[in-house]
Amino acid sequence: MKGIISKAYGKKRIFDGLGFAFDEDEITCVLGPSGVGKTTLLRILAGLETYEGQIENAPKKCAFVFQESRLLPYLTVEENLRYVGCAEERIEDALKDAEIFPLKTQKAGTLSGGEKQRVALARAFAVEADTLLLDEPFSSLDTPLKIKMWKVFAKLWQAKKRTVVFVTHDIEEAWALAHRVVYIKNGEIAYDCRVERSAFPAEYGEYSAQKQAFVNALLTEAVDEK
Amino acid sequence: MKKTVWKNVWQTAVALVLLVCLWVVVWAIVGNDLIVPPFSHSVKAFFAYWVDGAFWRALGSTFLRVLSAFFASFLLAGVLAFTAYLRPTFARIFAPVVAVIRVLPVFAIVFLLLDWTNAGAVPVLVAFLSLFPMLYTAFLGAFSGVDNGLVEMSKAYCVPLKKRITRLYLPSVAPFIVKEIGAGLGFAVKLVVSAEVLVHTAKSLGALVLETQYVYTELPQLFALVIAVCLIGFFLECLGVLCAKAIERRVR
Repeated sequence: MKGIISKAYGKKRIFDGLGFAFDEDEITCVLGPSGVGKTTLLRILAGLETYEGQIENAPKKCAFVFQESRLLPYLTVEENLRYVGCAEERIEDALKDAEIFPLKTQKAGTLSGGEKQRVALARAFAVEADTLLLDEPFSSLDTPLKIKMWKVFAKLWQAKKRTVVFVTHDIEEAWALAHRVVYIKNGEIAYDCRVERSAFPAEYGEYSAQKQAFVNALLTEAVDEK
Repeated sequence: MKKTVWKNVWQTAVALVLLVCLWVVVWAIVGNDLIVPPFSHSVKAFFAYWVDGAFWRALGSTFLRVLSAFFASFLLAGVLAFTAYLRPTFARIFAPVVAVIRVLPVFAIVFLLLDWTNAGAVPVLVAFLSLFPMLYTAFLGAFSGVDNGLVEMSKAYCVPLKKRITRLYLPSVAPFIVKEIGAGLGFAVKLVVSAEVLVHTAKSLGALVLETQYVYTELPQLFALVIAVCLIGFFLECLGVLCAKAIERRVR
């Protein structure tokens, strides 16, 4: 999937001809400062926002994991998966992969934050979609839970590979999960690299010269701006 | 649950006893049976109606008018409010129409309505015109309160509209609508009977009220009919709440 898009909210221009390409069956993490338009990009890809320009091979059906779980609280876990059109045979597998199978008959409103986010992930992987979009799905979780969720995400992705666009603020998360990291600044891609790491997902805090160079570049830039 | 039901029954019984006491006190103070009839006479007249076929026919037709007016306004308000929620342009165009209906002095145009239709239809129209804007506003408020995050999620996953209505919108608005069903049915009884009195609808509770008040000047019978109307309103309110709770349980 690739495209060139422009987007403005009133007089505020977010993108002016942003060019992007996301490789098939790969995980691309999109990083960038707040307000740069990362979420807007996901919303455009999901068809939730209008835009100018064109997207080639635009996703026919997306799965979306939001910052909040966005589950129907009065439905059970499996009913929530059925609601978005997940096939019966996929529901069981996805719930097992996300390690929440015993919760399948429990009402979503009674689950903890971590459990809800697991259900949201399982829902995204169980539904028949060509692209998976994630908008800082683990940002509200504490670090140990977040690391657990990375493992769940990796297991689910390995069981059913697909194109993933993952927006995050967390550099550790990006290097742990992505095949490719893209950094957006001032409405354009300022940094684009293929990630080198030892495992998928990488260990939390694992040293990577590439990651360190990226952090240094960000810090230098921040200092220069100051 | 059982405890709450008993508490409600007990409190209602106390309220009824207090009302009867108030009646007796007012009757004793006024001291004129032509202004306030004795409670015992009205109760006797009330039970006398139970064996009167004309009363039951009148009750049945008034009941039907109440239900037709309520469900017509309920369904139309629900459908139009949902359309207005989905299509803001429609909401903006329709808002002045609702505003006009809301402020329309329905009882002032009752004779105009009588010219256009007939005495049987006017009470239904009067109740419809009064209930519709109330229910439309309640529905629109309830739809606007549906979690926007869930609506957006449903769009992102391309959930079909029918499924969204049954699994997202209806369960979300059900708690708000429960209240409206009960109160709306009670209000409809009041409106229908008042309009029946005004336009002399044949074979109706309103007509019976009119006859006892002006033809026979039988005050105990009039009060007995007022008791009957209050009981119907109360019964319909309870029925409405029970039905709505059953619907809520089913959709949630």
